[in-house]
Amino acid sequence: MAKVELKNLVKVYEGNVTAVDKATITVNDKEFVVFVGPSGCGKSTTLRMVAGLEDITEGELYIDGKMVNDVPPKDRDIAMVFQNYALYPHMTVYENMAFGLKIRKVAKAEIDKRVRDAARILDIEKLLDRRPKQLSGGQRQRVAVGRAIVRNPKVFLFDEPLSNLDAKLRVQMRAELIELHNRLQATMIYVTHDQVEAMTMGDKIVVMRDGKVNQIGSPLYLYNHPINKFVAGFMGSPPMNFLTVKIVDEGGQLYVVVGNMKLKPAPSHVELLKAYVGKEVSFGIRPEDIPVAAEGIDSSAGKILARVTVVEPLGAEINIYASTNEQSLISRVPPHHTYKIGDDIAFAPLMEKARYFDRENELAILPVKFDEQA
Amino acid sequence: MSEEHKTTFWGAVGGKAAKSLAYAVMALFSVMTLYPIFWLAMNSFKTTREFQVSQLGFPVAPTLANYKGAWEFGEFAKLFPNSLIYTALSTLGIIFFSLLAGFAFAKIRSKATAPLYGSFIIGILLTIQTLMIPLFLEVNILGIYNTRLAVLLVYIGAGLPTGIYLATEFIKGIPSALVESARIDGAGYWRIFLAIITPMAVPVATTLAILNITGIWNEFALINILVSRTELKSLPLGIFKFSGSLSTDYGKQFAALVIGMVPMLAFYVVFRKQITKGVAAGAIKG
Repeated sequence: MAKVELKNLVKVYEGNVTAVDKATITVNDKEFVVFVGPSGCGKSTTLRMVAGLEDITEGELYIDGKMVNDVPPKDRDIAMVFQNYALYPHMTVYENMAFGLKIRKVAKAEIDKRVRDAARILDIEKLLDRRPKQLSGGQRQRVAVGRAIVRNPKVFLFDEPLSNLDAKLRVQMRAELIELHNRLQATMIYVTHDQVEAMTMGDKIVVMRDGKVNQIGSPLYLYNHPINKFVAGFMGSPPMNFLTVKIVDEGGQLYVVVGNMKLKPAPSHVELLKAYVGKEVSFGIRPEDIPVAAEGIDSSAGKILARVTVVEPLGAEINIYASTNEQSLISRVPPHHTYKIGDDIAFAPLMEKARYFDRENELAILPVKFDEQA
Repeated sequence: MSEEHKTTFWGAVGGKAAKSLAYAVMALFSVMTLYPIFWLAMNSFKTTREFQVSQLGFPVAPTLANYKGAWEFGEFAKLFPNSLIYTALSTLGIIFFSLLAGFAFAKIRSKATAPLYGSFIIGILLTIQTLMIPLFLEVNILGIYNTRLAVLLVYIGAGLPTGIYLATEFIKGIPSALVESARIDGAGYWRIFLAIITPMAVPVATTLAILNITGIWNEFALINILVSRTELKSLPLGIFKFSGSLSTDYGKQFAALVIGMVPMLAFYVVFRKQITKGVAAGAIKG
């Protein structure tokens, strides 16, 4: 197994289109790293550069300490699982899994052992004689993973492997891939546009946008300490609420003013917010951090008054969509609340959990690391 | 009878009428296609004299003499193997090079792809007539006039523009991820071509086989200028020998035509399903 290091990787396509701009990422040995971002953010291109399927315009790529910029894919000791599975339709499942080993001239008995071992792990032993078109989407996905496993590569690459599956199967395969990672203890790089997949699967997440790496860190670090408004909004579902607020100083006491409502910022945030007195900033608060002001909830920092616009009961919780006079927000509340559309509602935001973002450059005002481990 | 019933009734009548008409048209076309073959075969069993007297009647005393005569006079024992060799090798060559070039044009990005592909496609627009004299001169300059090599090279070259076009368009439809996956699996381009592309390109290879087998078996114009020695000629050249400028031995000529036609008929009967599919595929792609 191996460490993968991307140093200032750049990919410029014909016509001067920059797909990846100076990506510097370290994937440690045995780590499960997820590249996540909206489509067109450069995450797949970055993965394809690691695979050797795209030339690297600039920068350096190291696998296991060796620079591999000009090493062809077959000599990088990697295996890749593609979005559309890329199974050879004229070969049986067995032949599909054995193909890579055959080319590498592995002994027949060894091929047979490895294919059958992988098939057992993935529970596809009964499918070995079938052709890909005789398999369901989930089974094809398993075969594609199996083809990667038998190679026993240094690094596994996954390019949106679950996006063609239905929702239920996706959840199941997600769990299976996590289990597989634990079992194989392999270095894995996984690309997805689905932040839920990223949050649930990754030891480490790399959030990308417009070809640039925005932030790197563990799922919880990114969730709790987003470096900018984009990362804050991208991670988490329902997404973080953003309210435009003004920082006001009234006789030495700082206030966060939402419309005509005043909130007291958490004491630990005051010092950093002083630089923004008299200015507007983006006030970010996650739906679970803005409970309904009720008994047992501390509302000494102030309340946000709003009117309920949509109620989404999810069973274990309720998402309440509400709007102040000008701005809307979502709150995730326990299921015992019985609010209806049109009801007046008061929220008591947990100011310690609030995040603030500069309105101009959208960067976090509170201190945050670009790379959690750096 | 309600309005609805009336509609159904007339609808049924209309449907039947349309069906009958369709069958009538198809029957007419079948007769137009099959009758000449039947007529040819029937008259090949008559002597020339009997043919001149009765051109539509059945042979009174069917004879195989025409076949024996045609086989010997036309030197078919020599021409038949030639036709087989030209057709088989040229078709295989066209399929092989078309798939090879199609793979490169469809899946290996290069700055040379567009101009090279374009230069092959232009070939589709050129007619045989415009190529005859330049080809004749080239073959002479290369010193391969009156050789099998000349015939094979010209046939393969003439088949490549359409072949490469059909193969490229087909291979473009094979997902690139398969090629990429094979590259990561450790396969080189040559291995990918043989193990992945070729097995998947069987449908387009079949189309090319059908188009070229019939075309090359019947080809006359090009081979007529490429060879003059009897031992290098193909069946169509042999059959042409029967049309004399002063007189024609019809019985023998018909027998010769039947001999030339039988392999193609057999080919059609055996591969009719693939031919129907292949022609349709060619029609859509073309």
